[in-house]
Parts: sequence; structure tokens; C-alpha cells
Amino acid sequence: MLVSALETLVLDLLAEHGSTYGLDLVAASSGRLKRGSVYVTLGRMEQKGYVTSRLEDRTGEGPPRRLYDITALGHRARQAVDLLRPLPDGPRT
Amino acid sequence: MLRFSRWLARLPFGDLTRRAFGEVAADWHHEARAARGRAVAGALAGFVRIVLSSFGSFEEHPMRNLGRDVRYAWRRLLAAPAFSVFAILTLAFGIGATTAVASSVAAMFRPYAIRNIDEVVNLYQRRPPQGSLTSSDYDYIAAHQTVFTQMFAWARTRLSWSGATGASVVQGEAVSGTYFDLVGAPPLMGRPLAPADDRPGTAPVVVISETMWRSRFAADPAIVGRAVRLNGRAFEIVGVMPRWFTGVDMPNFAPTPYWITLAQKEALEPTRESGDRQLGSLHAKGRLVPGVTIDQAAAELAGFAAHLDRADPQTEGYVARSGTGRQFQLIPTARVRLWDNPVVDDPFARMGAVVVALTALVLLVACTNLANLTLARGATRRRELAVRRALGGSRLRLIREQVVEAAVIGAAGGFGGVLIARAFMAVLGTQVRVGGDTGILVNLDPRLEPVTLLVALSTTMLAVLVFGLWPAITATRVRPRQALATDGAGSLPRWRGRRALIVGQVVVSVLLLALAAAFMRDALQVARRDPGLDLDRLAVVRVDLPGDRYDEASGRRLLDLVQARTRQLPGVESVSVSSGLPVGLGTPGGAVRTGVDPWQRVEFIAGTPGVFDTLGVRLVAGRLLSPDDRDPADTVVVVSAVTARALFDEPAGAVGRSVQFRRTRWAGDADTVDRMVRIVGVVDDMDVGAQVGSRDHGVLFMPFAQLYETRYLSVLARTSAEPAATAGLIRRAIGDLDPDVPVPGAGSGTELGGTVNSFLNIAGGFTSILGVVALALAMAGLYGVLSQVVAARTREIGVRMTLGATRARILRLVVSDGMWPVVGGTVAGLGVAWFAEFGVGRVFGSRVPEIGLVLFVLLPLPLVLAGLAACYLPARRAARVDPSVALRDL
Repeated sequence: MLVSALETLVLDLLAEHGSTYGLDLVAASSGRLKRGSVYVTLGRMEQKGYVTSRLEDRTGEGPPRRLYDITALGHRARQAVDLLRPLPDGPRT
Repeated sequence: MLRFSRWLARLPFGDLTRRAFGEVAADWHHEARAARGRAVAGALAGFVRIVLSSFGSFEEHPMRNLGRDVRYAWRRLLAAPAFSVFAILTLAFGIGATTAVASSVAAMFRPYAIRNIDEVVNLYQRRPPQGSLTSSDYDYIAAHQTVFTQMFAWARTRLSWSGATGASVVQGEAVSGTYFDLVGAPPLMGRPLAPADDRPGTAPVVVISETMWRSRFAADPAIVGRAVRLNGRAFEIVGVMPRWFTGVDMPNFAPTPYWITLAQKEALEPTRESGDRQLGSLHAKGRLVPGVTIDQAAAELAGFAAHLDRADPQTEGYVARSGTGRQFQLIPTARVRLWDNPVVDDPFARMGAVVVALTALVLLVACTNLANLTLARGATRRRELAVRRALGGSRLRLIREQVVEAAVIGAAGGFGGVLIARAFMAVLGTQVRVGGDTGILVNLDPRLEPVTLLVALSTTMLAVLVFGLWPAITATRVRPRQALATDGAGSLPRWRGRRALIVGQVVVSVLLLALAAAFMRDALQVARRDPGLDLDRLAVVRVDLPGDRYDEASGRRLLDLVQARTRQLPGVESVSVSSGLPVGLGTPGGAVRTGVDPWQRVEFIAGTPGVFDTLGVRLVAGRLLSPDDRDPADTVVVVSAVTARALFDEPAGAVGRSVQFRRTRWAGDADTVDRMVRIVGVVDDMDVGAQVGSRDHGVLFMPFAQLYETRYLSVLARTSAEPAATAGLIRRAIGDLDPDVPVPGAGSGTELGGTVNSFLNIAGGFTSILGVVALALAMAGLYGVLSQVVAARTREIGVRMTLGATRARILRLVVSDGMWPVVGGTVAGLGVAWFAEFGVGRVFGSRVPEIGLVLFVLLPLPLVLAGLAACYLPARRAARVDPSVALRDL
């Protein structure tokens, strides 16, 4: 199953930060993720089984927000992508 | 924001997109607690991004999808060639016609080709007619003014150009020597006219246009220095002006073919002005001194007007006649486009806009037809769309696909439209001679300019929107389960919306047809009204007898010979010699009075006794002129009733009375014709001048035997043959007798004497073509839609028939279904036309005819008949439905 660059970035961020809101992923991506694209990407990744989500316990006003986590399949996909990723420097083996 | 996200989520987006809207809204609430402004901006940006990305099917390269959609659309169009060709051709013709009409209108309103035109102003004498100046006034202003760096005067001239194929009259400009310096147009070859050329007694020179150089002289490279004969006199061609410089006299539709100096015009055809200030013929322009405003210039001219009124001994009579002294007026030249006069230009500019709008309306009708067709295609694809929706295809994706298909048709139609527009413009751009042999050469020069291309582009975009987006939205409004459960045929898109389209089309057709009918009715009325002269069977040939070669005796001899030869021509019933025609062509003009009463203006015709028969003028009182009226001491005249009434109140009372007659004095005339004449008869009134139906002054007939008049000299013949052909034969007879006699014009009476009603004919023709096209499109659309509705309702009709409905009842059902939008559209259209009459009347001024009650009653007839015809075939098909076949699959 293919993992796009945007999805890889989301997996990396989730692996690093643990359970995270979509908006925080946008903030942590230093501009590479956008508000408009992050949720559609997350939704699609959830359909593929790379991430899982749950609604937060409602705090104060407004609708509850969704917290995203990486799944075991997500970890394996990330490792697979890592293996395929070319080495940044030095000779290729 | 939450409410907005919920509203967005109700739109036909995919599940992921809808959930994303909710997430962004939740983020907003979270952020809003910290920084409200930032939260709003962030949330809105998020919504926009989601919507945009949904069009890209969430892929990272939406453009790649677009390319795929275009290829797919192309394949689908190839699979349905009949539809594709019809759609592309409809669009191409619609866009082509709109673009061509817009280009032609734009071509007519191009600014004059004058260098730094913003500094240039037109100078008018505000009253009386046409605002032209006398040469003496112009000379005074040019000599004393301090507000212009340069000035020039110009006048229209019509000279007979001799050539290998005979002489022909060509209209050009006579200009002062400063003309070319002020307009700043460099010649293509040779030199322009210079102030030194514009002095009496200098060698005659002429500058020609590139168009004339190419058409008349076959682009002769040695043209400069070549001699030509104008009105029988030798002129040297000194220069050729480039094609883009079209002069200042109607430059946008009748490019000036040649320029001579005013001094030469005076020598060839002296102007009708000496002494009579009403008859100035010069137009003037000036380039303002930098820093001088138009108001400052006008103030200086007001001073000149006062001075000229005081200094000119003839002003007294002039002031008495016009009620005012000279009033000079300045208008920026950049404001004039057509006739060098904004008063005339402005209504035509508005009319041009209306013409473009009307053409665009027809394009709109064509587009709605395409929308109907596309809807029908959508209906047949319902099953396919339902399957794709069931397999997870988003609705936006499907809409996009169809819009891309419409855009491909639009692009092909737009491209074809530009090609067709070029073809139309080539036709519109051909030279046409208007007004018979002495008329002008009309030559529009429409070009595909940025503005025009913008019009083409925007009409294409509009077309794509109308026939692409809307049917796509309708067709994709499918519920997969429902559509898959049935065979799809029974669920045609709602007839209500398509009925609205047809109503709209009928409204447009009614509007155009109402306007067309009104124009044509007025044109017919003008054609039918009695001008008091019988011009239809008249052949008219103008003759200029060169004064240096023909004295009175030899001139009369030649004219007698011409008349004798004309009498022998086939079909000729009567022949006469006359000094012009009272209407259209014109006469030398004059005035009559009794005692010291005010002068009454008349058209003056010196004619041979047969002139009344030839012109078809009726006697009211007294007698006509006879061959015996030769006594030089007793000049007799016949006047028309309007003059008789003005002089003596009662037409019959004028017979036997003597009046003072003074012929208009023309510059170059040796002496004045001013004598006492005796009225022997009164004839019926007839049209005079150039206006339709104008009878504001009368006509005076005098025996040619008693006054040898050579201005406007014409040979007239009443003929049962084709008048224009007879005129050609008379012309040839004159050429046989003396090939060097200029014949400045030959044609039928309606061509040379006809009044200006071509506007009504053109407007009527144009709007009726548009109206008929719109009606045909609307009816074709109605037919197509009804056919589909009937096909879709076959089963329902079968059920009805099984339950006892008769064929007549089914026929009535379908026809009434189809006729509703026609009747509704007709009523609405008539309502709109009735309201529009006020608005349109304001736009056109008095030129627009009233639609009138009769038309309101008559107009619906053809529409209803066309509607019935469009409904009949589908209705008959419905009535022939065999219930057993229709119900077989139930």
C-alpha cells in the first residue's frame, strides 16, 4: 500500500508527539501541513488503518475536538517507508 | 462558524470532506478563546482549502486529473458526433455573430486617427443647420485667433474621376493646407498637401488613399507625379496616405479616398454660400495651445462672433431670420466618432450597444438549447452516474467532469466562433456603394481587437456556464439506489426547469420579433406614403456642362440632342431636362416674396415643359408650363401649394399674381438671378430636402427656355423599363455625343431622389433576422424537449390508455403540456416589450417606432402557430402509443 509524502509526515509527527490534535500537527509541521488538507489526509489515513482517532472529553464550549494516534499498522508503514527512503548523504549500498 | 460548517457539510461533498468541515469548526472554537481574529481567518482558509482540494479528488496533483478529464471529455464527444457537431456549430455561430457584430460596432466608434487627439477640438457654428461655418468666418477666425497652435477647415466634395472604364463620382475631402500638419499622419509615398497648395491659381494637386492607390491604380509604384482628370480638369497626384488614415469625414465607415485643397474645390464646384450665411459648408478643427482650456478658447470665439455680427452688413437679415447672431461652439474631437458631431453620434452609440445586446440574446437562446440537450444527455447517463456514485465517486467529481466536457465544447466553439467572426467581418468589411451611382463607398473595417476577443471570451464563458454547469448539477442529483432500481428512463430531470428555459427563449423571440415588426411596419409606411413625386419609374442622369466649352446656345443644342436620343430608348414615355430633383438630389435653390414680405425659401427647378409629366406632379390650380412660355419679358412659374399658401394664403389665389424671385447666389456666379415672375399654376405638394416626409418649403418651376440653368442639370426620363438601366443608356448616349462631359451621377429616381429611410430598412432587417433565428431555436428546443418528455412518459401514457384515455385526449394532453411555456412566454414577452418600449424609446429617441396595439394582437399568432407545429409531432407519437407494447415490461 502506498504512503504519500504528506502521510509519511503525519506518521512521523504522530510517532514523535503521541496523541495529538489536527491543529497541533499543522503547527508542528512548520508549514508543510495546512488546515485544509490535514483533516482530509487524517481521515483517509484512518480509513487505511494507519491512524486512529477519538473525540476528546468535552471541555467548555464548542464541539469536541478529535485526538489522533498512530496505530501498529501506521508504525509498520513508517518503518517500511524508512527502509525505502534513500540515504541523505554518502554512498548508496 | 459551527452553523456555517454544518451548512457546508450539507453540500454534496464526500464523507471525509464533510467530517473535515466539522474538525475545522471545532478548531475554531478552540482557538477563538485565545485569538478570535486569527481563528476566523484560519477557519475560513481551512474551509476554502477543503473545498478546493475536494475538486482534486484529494490527490496531490489536481492538474493531472484535469488533463485526464479533458481526454475523457474528448473521447465522449467523439462517441456522440451528432451532438458534438451540433453543439460546437451552434456555439461557433452564436459566438461568431456576437463577436462580428461587436467588432463592427467597435469599428464604427474608433477614435479619429489624429495625433494627440486630446488637444484637438471641433469648431461649430451652433445654428443654423449642421453647424458648418462660412469660409469668410473661418478665414477671420484663423487669422485672428490666439488659442490654437493650428487650425484647419474641411468640406465634403464629390468629383467625377475619369478613367479607362469611364467617369465615376467619388466623394472625398477638400481641406485647407494645414490639414495634414495638424492630423500628423505621415504619407505612405510622396508628400501630403501643404499650405502652398491651398492658394487660388496654384497647380491642382491631389493626395489619394492607399486603398484607392491599390484598387484604382493597381498599386502603381510610379503613382506620384501621375496625372488624373477630376471633373474634366488635370490634377497631379502628389502623395498616397496609408490605409490606417481614413480622413475626418465619416472615417470609420466611409474612408476618405482622396484629398484636394479647398482652393481647388472652389475652382471646380463653387460653394453655395455667397451672401447667404445659412449655407456655410466648412467644418473646422483646431489644436489648442498647451495650457489653454476649451472654455478660454470658447471665450475668445464669442468675442469674434460679436465682432463678425457687427462688421458683416449681411448679418442683419441673418439675425432676423434665425433670431440669433453667430454662436461658435467647441467640442473635443475625441468625443466624435461617426459624423464629426456628438449630437448625431450619441444616439448611434447607444444603438450600437443595443444591437450587440440583441445579438448576445440570440446567443443566450442558443446556449439554453444546448443546456436542454445536455440535460437530455444527462438523463440517458443517469444509470452510469448512479453506478459511479454507488462506487464512491463524489458528486463534485462528476460535475467537474461534465463541466470540463462543456468547456471542451466551449473552447472548440469559441475557436470556431473566432474563425466565423473573421469570415463575417470579411463580409462586413467589403466595400459597398450606398445611394446609387453618386453615393458613398461604405467600407467598415472591423478588426479582432483585444476588446473584441474579450467579448468572444466572455460570451464563451457565459455559454459554458449556462449549458455546462447547470445541467451537470441537475444530472448528478441522483439517488443511486433509486436510479439503479428503475431502468432510469422514467426519471427524466424535472420538466418544470426546462419549461422555464423555453419560456425564457420565447420571451427573447417575442422581444426581437416585436422590435422587428415595428421597424418593418414603419419602413413600409415610409415606403407607402406618397412623396408627391413618382420616383419609382424615373431615370435620372446628372450632367455637368463645362462652362469653358459650352455656352448657352451649344449647351441647349447638346441637351436637345440628348433628349431626342433618350426618347428613342425602349420603354421611355416622357423626357425632360431639369435643374435637379426637389428631394434627395437637390436643386440650385432660391426664394420668393411679395412686395417687402419675408422671403420664402423654395427649391428651384428650371425645367422643360414635360417635367411635370416626367416627375408625376399633379396640377391643383391654373395651368402647367407650356412650350410657348418663351417671352423673356414675361417669366412664368408654377409653384407648389405650400409656397402658394405662404404667399397668398389660398393656393388658387396665387394664380396670375406676380412675385419677386431670387435664385440662390453661388460663389463664382457672374450675376444674380433676381426678377419678377408671374405665377400661372399651382401644383400639389411634394417632399423636399433630405428628410423623410419633409415639406417645410415649396418648389418653384420655371421654363428652362426662360432661364438657362446649369447647376444640378439633369436629364429625367419616365420609363416602363428598369430605371437604373435606362439611366445607364442615357449616360452612354451622352458619352457618345461628347465623351468629355462629366456625368456625376446616374441612377433610378428612388436611388438619387429617395429620402433617408435606409435606417429603418437596415434595423428592421437585422432585428427580424435575429427574431426569426431566436424563434427557430426556441421551437427546435421545444420540439426536442417535448419529444424526450413523450419518450419518458410512454409507459404512463400506456397506463392512461389502458384505463380508457382516448387518442384525442392524449394528443390534447401533450399539446397543452407543450403549449403552456409558449403561451406563458408570449404573454411575458409582450409584457416585457410593452415595458421596454419606454426604455428603448428613450435610447433611440424618436427613431424607435411604437410597437402599437395591432402588433400586440398580431404578434402572438406566428408564435402560437410555431409552438403548435413543434408540439404536434411528439403529440402524435404519444397518441400512437400501443398500450400493450408500452406495458409489456411493467
